[in-house]
Amino acid sequence: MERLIDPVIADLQHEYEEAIRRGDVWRSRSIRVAGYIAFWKVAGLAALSADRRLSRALAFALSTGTIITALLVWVTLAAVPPRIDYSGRTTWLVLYLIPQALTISVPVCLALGVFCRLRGRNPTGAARRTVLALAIGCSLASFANLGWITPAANNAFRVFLVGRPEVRGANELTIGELRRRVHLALPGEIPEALPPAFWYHARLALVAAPPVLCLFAFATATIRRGRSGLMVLATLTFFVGCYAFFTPSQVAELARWLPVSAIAWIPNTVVGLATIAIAFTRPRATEATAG
Amino acid sequence: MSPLHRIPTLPPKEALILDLLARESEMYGLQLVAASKGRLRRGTVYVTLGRMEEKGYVSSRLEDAPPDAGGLPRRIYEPTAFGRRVLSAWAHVARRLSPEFAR
Repeated sequence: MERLIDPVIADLQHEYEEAIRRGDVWRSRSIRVAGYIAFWKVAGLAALSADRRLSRALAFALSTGTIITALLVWVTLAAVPPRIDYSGRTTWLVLYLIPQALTISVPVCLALGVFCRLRGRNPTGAARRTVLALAIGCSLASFANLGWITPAANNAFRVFLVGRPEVRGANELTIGELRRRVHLALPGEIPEALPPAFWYHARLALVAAPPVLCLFAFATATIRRGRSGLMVLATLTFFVGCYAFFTPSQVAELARWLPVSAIAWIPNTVVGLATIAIAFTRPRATEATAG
Repeated sequence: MSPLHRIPTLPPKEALILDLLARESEMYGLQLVAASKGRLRRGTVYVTLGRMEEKGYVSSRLEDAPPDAGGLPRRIYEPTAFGRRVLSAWAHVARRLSPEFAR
């Protein structure tokens, strides 16, 4: 670090001081911004080149995340009725569907990254804190996405596909609007197979998904190698499958036996139970320490 | 291991840095960025220089800052004799092969 970070800071300080000496305020400000960007870039590149395991984990998680995002976008586009012709407009439709897909692919991507980085190791305190910070950060980003960005993108998707709708579905309401509808027991503006309570709880469950999946990945990574990779693959496939392949009518069938709010939390509950089972039943890895 | 695996490699960015250093004899990171006319970025030049130092192409020292100067001293880079030889060998190979590629 002394040979990578210190030169960045030293050069930045000298360039900044020179600009100040010349009285060039705007130049000094631009140097400061460019310097901060350069600093973080160097720090990131240095961390990646020093930790090959981290770079491999990042590459694997990002490529898997991209595939899952593409799969989720494709599933939604494939569900568009054949009578609606969207040829020539596919790029925009795909862009509108990406925020919704990210709410599922980002937690999965994060869990895979954590698992690959920590697999078969005893994580240090710093590693635990980093994972926790990443999970909370992702959860907050997910809340903003599910609360405002995804509803707007979903609405734009429907407007672009079938023209301006007079009413909005549950997936096009902001989290506040949806919450009001649930608490005042208002019916949806359009007839839907599921009540607003399901969609509200499904969003909350997705906000909670990053910490839940991270904990699962953490618990699985710290047990001895063997079938841990298979367990992660099966659990994450189940998690993605719940959101990608269950239709509202299938969920409505399930609602005969379970409250809709409980159904929305099934993916998280299953992953949480798997985490508890792993944490309390499997021997821990002792081969190395991961920082 | 075959002798081919032991031949030092010189990616384009490292070749550019060695070329600039060979002309000016010693420079610091941002001087290299400015002299490269946009071909080097301030976010990547330090990582490349670090890698080149590990390979033995360049060496570095901290500048002798005036006593009243605040902040960290800058790190000055210069090409090593090995770095100069690698650059010259690669330039020779490039000159020999460029007519083949230009055809």
